[in-house]
Amino acid sequence: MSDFARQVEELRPQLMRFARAQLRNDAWAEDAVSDTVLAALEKPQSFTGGSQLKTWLVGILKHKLIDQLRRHTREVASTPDDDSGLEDLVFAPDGHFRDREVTWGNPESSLAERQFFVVLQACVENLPPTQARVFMMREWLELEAEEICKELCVSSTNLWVLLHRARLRLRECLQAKWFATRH
Amino acid sequence: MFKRLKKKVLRRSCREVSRLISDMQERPLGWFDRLLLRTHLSLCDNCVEFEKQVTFLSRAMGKWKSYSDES
Repeated sequence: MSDFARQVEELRPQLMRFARAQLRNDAWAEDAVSDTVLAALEKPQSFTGGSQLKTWLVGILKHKLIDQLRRHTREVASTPDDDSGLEDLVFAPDGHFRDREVTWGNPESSLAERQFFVVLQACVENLPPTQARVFMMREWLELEAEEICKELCVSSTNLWVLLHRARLRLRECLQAKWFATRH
Repeated sequence: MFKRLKKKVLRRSCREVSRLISDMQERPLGWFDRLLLRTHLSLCDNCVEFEKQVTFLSRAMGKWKSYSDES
């Protein structure tokens, strides 16, 4: 095995972790990562060494993730999350936030802590699958809203609702698992 | 007429306003929504905090990504 192939192989577990977080399906994640590794090994010359190998691979992986989502779109669209009760949990009947003590002070300092990202990742993984998927597509793959709507066959209003629910859930999760434990 | 408009703007709930805060990340708000949002934020600390949390989440995801690219 060439040095290059060995380095690519070494990064496979990390690629798998990202693919799983995004796709929430082990088989699809395996496919996306295998396609990425194959593409990399077929064209090692297109890695110019200007960026880190991992950054380059993640760049390829993003395209393969989108391919997987495209291929499995129907499965995604046919299993919408029933999460309509969420807002009743977060908001009182008068429409105010139930929990008024959710203040994060200066959250920026958390960004310097490795452990924070472990918690963030766990919170994203705990989201209902469709919410996790749209949130990751938007914030991690940085796809435009129109692109996500097209890939998943959802209306833009639907997408906004999903993103909003994801944010409400992440807020609750980070509050419980991170910020509340630090005061 | 003005009174009624004022009432309509002031009596929005956090439930509706938090949705506007989320949507603001995705689409430009119309003038009425902007007015509603600004008025509500001037009176409601919880929603001010929620707005900070939403933009923080976005920054955190950006940081997570570059951190996972590096490590």
